[in-house]
This record gives sequence, C-alpha cells and structure tokens, in this order.
Amino acid sequence: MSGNRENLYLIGMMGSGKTTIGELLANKLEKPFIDLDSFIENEQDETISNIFSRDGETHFRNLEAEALKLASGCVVACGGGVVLRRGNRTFMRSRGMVILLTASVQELSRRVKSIDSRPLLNGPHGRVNALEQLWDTRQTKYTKTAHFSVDTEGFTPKDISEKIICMIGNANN
Amino acid sequence: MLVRLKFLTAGESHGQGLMGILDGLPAGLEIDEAYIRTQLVRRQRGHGRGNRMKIEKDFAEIWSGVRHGKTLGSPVGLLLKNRDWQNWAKKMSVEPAKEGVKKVTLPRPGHADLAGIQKFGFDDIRNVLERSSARETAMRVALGSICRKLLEETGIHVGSRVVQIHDVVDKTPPAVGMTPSKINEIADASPVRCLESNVSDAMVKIIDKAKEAGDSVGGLFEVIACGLPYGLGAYTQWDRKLHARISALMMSVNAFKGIEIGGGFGSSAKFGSEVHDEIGWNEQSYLRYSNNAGGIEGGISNAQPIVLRMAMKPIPTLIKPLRSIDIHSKKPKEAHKERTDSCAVPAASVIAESMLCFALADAMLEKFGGDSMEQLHAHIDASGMY
Repeated sequence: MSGNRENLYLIGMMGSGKTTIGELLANKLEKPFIDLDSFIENEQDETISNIFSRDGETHFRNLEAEALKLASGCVVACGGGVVLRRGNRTFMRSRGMVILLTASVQELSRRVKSIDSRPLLNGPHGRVNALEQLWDTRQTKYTKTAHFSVDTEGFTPKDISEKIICMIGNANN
Repeated sequence: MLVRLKFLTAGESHGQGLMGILDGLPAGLEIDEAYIRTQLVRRQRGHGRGNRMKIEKDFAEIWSGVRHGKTLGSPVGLLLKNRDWQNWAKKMSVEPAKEGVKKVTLPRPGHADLAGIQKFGFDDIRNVLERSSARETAMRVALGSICRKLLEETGIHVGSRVVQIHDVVDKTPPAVGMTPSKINEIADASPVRCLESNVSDAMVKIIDKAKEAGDSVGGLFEVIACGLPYGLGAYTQWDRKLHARISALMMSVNAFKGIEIGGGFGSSAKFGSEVHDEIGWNEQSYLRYSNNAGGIEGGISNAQPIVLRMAMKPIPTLIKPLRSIDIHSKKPKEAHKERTDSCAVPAASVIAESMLCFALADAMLEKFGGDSMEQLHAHIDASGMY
C-alpha cells in the first residue's frame, strides 16, 4: 500500500457520505479503498472511542496523521477532523485530489441519528443546532483544503460518484 | 495587554502622515502593501462619509521588517503619508510659526477638546484635536492587517457586519455556513455593511435624514472570528483573560462606548438555563449546542466562533453646531466646525475587526510561540486542540 502514487481524498462532516461514496468511487476507478477511521481501529485493535478515552485526542490525531501518509494510489475516506491539522491539509493537497462532500445540517442530522439535533437555545449568532456550530468552526478549513466541493443533498450515491469522476477527468485535462 | 506583540502609532490628522511600528511578529509571514491597502480601502467606505475620504486614498508603505515579500522577525514599520499635507503645511509646521496662525478656541462637545486643553494647559485646541482624531485608526487598520494575515495563515478568519444604525435594526442572523469572509464579502457590497438589503436601504435613509438636519448617527455592529483553537488567553490572571484583552484593544477606538461578548447585556435578563451552552460529543470532537458565551468561557477561547457586538456613539462633530464656550473669552459661541462624517459605523466595524486581529494574533503567538511561521505551524499541529 505504501508508495508515492496519487490519492483521492474525501473529506467532510459526519454523515456527508465519505465512506459510501468512497467505496463506490474505488470500485469504479479500480483503486483500493481506505476508510481511515476503520484502518486505525484495525491497526490499533481498538475502537476510536476507546483510543480517545484511553490515550486522548492528541494521540488519536497523531495516529490519523501517520495513517494518512500510508495511502498510495487509493481512494481515502477521511475522518471528520482530518482537516484540523495544517500538516494533514497540506499533505493531502500535495498528494492528490481532495473532494469535500457537503449537505445541509438538517440533512446531516437526519443521516446521523447519534447527534442530538433537537433545536435548542438561540445563541447570539442564531445557531440552533450543534452541527451548525461545528460547521461554523470548521468550514474554512474544509473549503480551503478541498480542490472541489460536491453537494450530496438530493442526489444518489451513484450520481455523486459519477459527478466526482467527471470532475477528476476534467481536472486532469 | 499584548504579550508577544507591541505596536505604536504616531502622527497627527493633518500632519505629514501617520507612522506605525509592529514588533514581535515571527519571520516568514508573507505580507505586501497591496494586502494592507485592501483593508485601508474597506475602512474608507460607507454611506455618510464626508469629503476627506475622497481626498485621502490611503496607501501604507512598508519601510522596514519585510524582505522579498516576507517578514524578517524585526519590527515592521509603516508610513501612511497624508495627501492633504500641502494645505496644512503652515498650520502644522514643526518649526515655530513665522506669522500668527489662527487658534482653535471653541471646544466641541463629545470630543477630547476641552479635557485635552485642561490636561496639557494648551491655549489652542488644535494641539489636542489633531492627535485625538480618528484619523489615527487608519494606521491601526494598516498594522492590524498584518496580524489579520498571520491569523489567516493559521486558519482564523475575522469578519463583521452592521446590525443597527440609529434605531434601524437588522434582526436576521447570518445564515448557517456563512464564514467571516463571506460575511465581509456581502457586507462590503452594502453601502452600510449590512447583510440584509432592505434594512441597508432603511439605514441609508436614516443617515441621509441626519445629514440633512446637520446631525449625526451612531449604531451597533457585530464582529465574528472563526477557526480558533481551545485555550487562547488564560483564566489564571486578570490581565491574561482573552475577553479582557480583546475589550481593552477594541474599546480603545474613538467613539466606541460599549462592548458585549456573546449574549452580553441581553443575558442579564435571562435565566441561567436559557443561556447555558450545553456540551455534546460526536465520536471525534466536542459539540456545543449554542454559543451564548460568544466563544470565550472562563477567559479562554473554547474553539467556538467569537461573537461580540460594539456600540458606537454618533460622531460628535456636527455641521449644525452645539453650544460651547470660547476658551479665551469664556463667552458662549457655537462649537468649531471641522470637516466631518454624519455616520462612520460601517468604517468602525472594519477598525474593530483590526483591533480584534491584534488581540487574537497576540494570543496565538503567546500560546504557540515560535520565531518563524514554520515553527508556529509545527507548534500548532503538535499541540493545537480544535
């Protein structure tokens, strides 16, 4: 798996479809698929939750940065926080193409049941939802890292993967 | 209240120009005069500005601290020459005046005029008003823009919008997903830096109404910063608290009369249960269900957007003057008229952004250190928590 070939990185918030779309793309492009979070869990023989509670977030982020370096010629579905480190952001941009998958926070809430998305108190900024807040804090890092942004709302995974393949094709020409 | 950075400005409103020095920057920060110019242009805009803004096309020259497009780690010195200088060379000459120069003897209510002459024992108000003028804020914006560049390089963006002029209020919060840069993009296209176009129109009308009546208007604006890590500032000592440092820097701007962080004054009338920013977890990071804290809890940043609002009083110089007393004769007269704006709230929001940039750049350097941008980035990656 190690090597220097170009990768296709999928980034985005939880529920944006990185794993689903990633698998489809890998299939169509005939490349290996890596889900970074699953890869780390396998390698560490431990769930990410337990890595966090046992070793802390910084340790997880270090593992994530190391795992990122291993992919070569793959489609990589990254964890939601991969863009938090500048090192990761510059690495991905230098090692291939980065695609940001987006959807409205309402749609993300719908897809990811585990996040409590009950509308709560309005902050001074008018945010009613934890995902809105999270998007606010991370958005610039996502958009600056990505070469392209793809809206996943209202499209099937098949449509989305075909759209991405078109984008890559056009970019290479 | 700055820990890593130091800055000084010098220069009178109608002197030869403004000077500024910013010391404490790491080496390797890319900066050029064009980037500084963009911010200076933003400061000069806004409906209700007077004619001076048409004469002064502000351009700051970088005189030191930068080589081949990057900072050296030595003090960055800027010079902002006053294009209007030739008209003032006699009144503002450094050398003793050969003939008598008319003195300004009528203090303007709301300005430093009266307190200034009492402070220094001057008999000419010009000695006060030249430096107390908001002209100096141009250099703050110029120096602040270098801090803005540093913040952008580290993933922090600052923006602002006008939420109220006189009693005309924009009640709509920015849409979800609107970054500070996007807020600025939309606001900068409005003559009053308001995001809602119908409210913009109403604001323009009230400014025109004031101008016609020879009066002025103030207002409220909101400043937002996104992309901060946890832990800027400190709760361990009063003068290290982030909101105290931010407030000191931002309240130092002419005509600013109040600052509120997050829910601010409004939260004083609410129950605690209505303003808690509850905490969640999404498998890989903490979530907050609201942001009444405005991005600062316990005096330190909590990785949420910083949201604050400031109040600007109406500009004290009026075309239709107010009552005052001549400082020589002690007789009543109408206050001295200087060239003025009827509303400077949009420009004020840009100046406020610049002051926030000083505070945040300083706090980032304090926490993550390093003598070069490379080192700063490495330190942020090694220990930054987002």
